Amino acid sequence: MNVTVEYAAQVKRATGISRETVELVNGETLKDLIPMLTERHGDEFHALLMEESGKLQPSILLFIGDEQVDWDESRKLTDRDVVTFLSPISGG
Amino acid sequence: MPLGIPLTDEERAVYEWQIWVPGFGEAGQERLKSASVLVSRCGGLGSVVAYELAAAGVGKMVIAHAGNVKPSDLNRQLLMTHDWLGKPRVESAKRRLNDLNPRLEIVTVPENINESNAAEIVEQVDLIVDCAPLFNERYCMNREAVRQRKPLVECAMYDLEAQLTTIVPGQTPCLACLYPDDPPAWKREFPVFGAVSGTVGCLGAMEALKLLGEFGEPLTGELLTMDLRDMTFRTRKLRRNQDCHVCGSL
Repeated sequence: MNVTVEYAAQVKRATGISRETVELVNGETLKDLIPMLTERHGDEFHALLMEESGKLQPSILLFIGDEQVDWDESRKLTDRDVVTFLSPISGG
Repeated sequence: MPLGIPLTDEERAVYEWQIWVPGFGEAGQERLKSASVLVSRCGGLGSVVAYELAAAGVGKMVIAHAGNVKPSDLNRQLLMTHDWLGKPRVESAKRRLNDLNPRLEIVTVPENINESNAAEIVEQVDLIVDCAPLFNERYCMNREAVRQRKPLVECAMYDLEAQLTTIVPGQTPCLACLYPDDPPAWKREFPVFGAVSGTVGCLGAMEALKLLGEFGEPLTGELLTMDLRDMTFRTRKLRRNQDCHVCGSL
């Protein structure tokens, strides 16, 4: 099955892409997906996304479709889900 | 929200086209006339927010922004002009806004919002539009908005992207629900075009006008994201954090 992963702001800059398709087997959660992405996109992306403790940075907003979700919730991803990572931005 | 102040004939003539907007009308315009707004800061975003609110007939505006106009402001800070380089930003903003709307009462604060001035400044207004670049400032405004139960419109931008949401304390997530700690990777200076700050500034002003004029459907509990690189606009639902250290008790 495939899920689409979208990136915004600084995480988009770190990956160099705005979206990609990721092939999963079945039954993966967000917590399973994130290490696959950090391995794919390298150190800058990993540092933006993850704390040293191994938890997701609390300022990264995660969505499945249009619903905000927690990174460690047990919900399993399903075929054609769209997962979005938003990093914080500001005015100026 | 404000009750409204009767319009003069001159004001009816100036605001005629927007008074025609269904759901707004003269009663909405009277509410704008009696309304007060804090715009913090008056940079790329805040300049456009302030200009649109001044044009629409908001009665009073408090503008907080430290510092003088720099060359690097002029690609996006539309209330700043070349002849004002080296002079205070808030004075340039006041001058330009009163050229547009001489009826607008403007209070200039030549400081950025901080721990010591936030409470007093927020007390002067009905609504806040956060256009500040630093999370420390934004957290101060958020805390006061929650404490004083005042709506807060959050505008943000980066590169060709922008985000917008409206916070109503006790009803929607607050800024600290979304970003509990100062994001470590966020930098004060970042790439952006003036057309991006102008886009989200207009949308932020519209949110303020809807809340003050009591019409339309504000973006409460939702995040509008825009990527102007490919013109993707999306609205996503946000969640309150029941354990939020700022608004969790409301």
